[in-house]
Amino acid sequence: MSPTTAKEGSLIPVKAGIGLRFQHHQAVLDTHPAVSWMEVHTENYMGGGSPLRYLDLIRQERPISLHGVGLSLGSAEGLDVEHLKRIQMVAERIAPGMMSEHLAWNVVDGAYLPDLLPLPMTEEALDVVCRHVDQTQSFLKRRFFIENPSTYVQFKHSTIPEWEFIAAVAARTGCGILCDVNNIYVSAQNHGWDAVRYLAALPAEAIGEIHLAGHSVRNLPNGRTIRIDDHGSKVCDEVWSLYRAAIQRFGAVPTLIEWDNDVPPLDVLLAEATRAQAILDEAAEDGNADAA
Amino acid sequence: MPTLLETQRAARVSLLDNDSRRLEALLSGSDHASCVDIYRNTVLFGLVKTLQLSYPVVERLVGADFFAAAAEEFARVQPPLLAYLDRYGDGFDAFLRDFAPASSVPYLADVARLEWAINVALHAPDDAPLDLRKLEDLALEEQARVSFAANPSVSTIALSYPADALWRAVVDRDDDALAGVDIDSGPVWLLIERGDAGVTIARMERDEWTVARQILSGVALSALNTPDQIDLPEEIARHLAAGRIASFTLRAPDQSSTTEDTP
Repeated sequence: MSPTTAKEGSLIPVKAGIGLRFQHHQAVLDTHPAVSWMEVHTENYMGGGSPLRYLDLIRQERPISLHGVGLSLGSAEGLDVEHLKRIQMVAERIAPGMMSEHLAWNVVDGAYLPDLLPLPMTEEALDVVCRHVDQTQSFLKRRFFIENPSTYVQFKHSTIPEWEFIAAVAARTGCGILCDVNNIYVSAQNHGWDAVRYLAALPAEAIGEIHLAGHSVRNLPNGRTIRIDDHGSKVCDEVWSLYRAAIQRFGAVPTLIEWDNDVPPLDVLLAEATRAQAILDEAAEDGNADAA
Repeated sequence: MPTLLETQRAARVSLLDNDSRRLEALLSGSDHASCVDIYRNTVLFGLVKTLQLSYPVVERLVGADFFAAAAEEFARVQPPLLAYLDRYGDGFDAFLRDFAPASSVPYLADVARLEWAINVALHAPDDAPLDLRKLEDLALEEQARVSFAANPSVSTIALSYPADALWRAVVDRDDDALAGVDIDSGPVWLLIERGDAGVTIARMERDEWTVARQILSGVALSALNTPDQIDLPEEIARHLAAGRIASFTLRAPDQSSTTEDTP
């Protein structure tokens, strides 16, 4: 596949982008940074007022990807159709280049627990997620992309490796995959998985976007080390290496720098995006060399 | 094998009620408690942070530690019902009114009530004001049955304490003004809305507020209780001109039900 061609369901350029947070709304409008696309959390733009007005203006200059955090695709009790309608309203306003959510859950018994909570990797959970992805794609009339999670626990009753689970969701529903390379690294380190094997198990043709972010490291009382996906620092060297491996495996893919805690000045995010872009450019050059 | 719903309910009990026995029995690996803590901290920290963003003046009045403890307790007993956190925090004023550790700050719940109205105004959808031609097209008989719907940013609230003066002093970081607020000066009647210049808080006279509240909450015009000194057409015109009214319906003559939507 040519590195300039977007995947089905995506109009996002195959370039490095940044996650847009409220702290940078004004700076983006003032400085018009040379970044060809941005991604926002859908739930932050469900009301009226100034956030949407900023996004309207920023959208005029570049495509936007809508990345949800609250749809709870893994909820046993079913999808909240009202939440789907709110997502649709944002989509109608912004005309996003791409839409995505997480392989996770956060609603049970009508209560919303604001985190991306881990699913047991069971046949039941796989059926539930596939049903909800089908429902979402039918409702929004477009292809949706599902992101692999970072996790800190595993369930005894899990029977399917996570990489097989997400590949199965893509195969059954036709959805795309948003491959979060940092999440793969974090989970692989936390659970003793082989990150390269994880990448190898994902269907390259389904990968429509890559996420990169920083994480932190904490020592537990029992001496174990755990990595926490807190999006509060630069991408670490090990994740950059895994990113190179991902690009080798998938080809060039739109790549996003995420930063949600201790959000730094816009320049810091742009520098991280420049670093990702250099790796994408190398892949494009390699591709051209192969073609010649 | 536990079902997905059983697993998720066990997680809820662990994260909100701090009882991890059922959840930890389902986990493999070691040091479950520390790992579950990571999720619990994210959930509770996220909810406390959401409440901090909506109630910054309450937080300044009671201090960060007190606020965090109150907010966490509120989050545990009233977690959000929607995955749309701009709407989370309604009812925190009632919670604070009954929160024993806050009983020495009797005006705190009123400040929270005001901050929620401000929050609603900030995040309300961008509804267009009513097209006045739709009103002009009504027959005289229909005009009496008009029931207005306010722009979603508008709130009318009556408070026992001068929470607006406290709010202003805290936002302006004006300690002298804060010290000068007469807590016992009596009730205030407020109208909060979002305009082009941002959110405004206006103090009203009691009678004027009473009529505004009825008009803006959808009481049919023929059913309004209007004090003698209030010029009703003038009041309605003022709210229309200010863009506070988004739409109207026509009530049945007995005022018990809506019979017709505006086009």
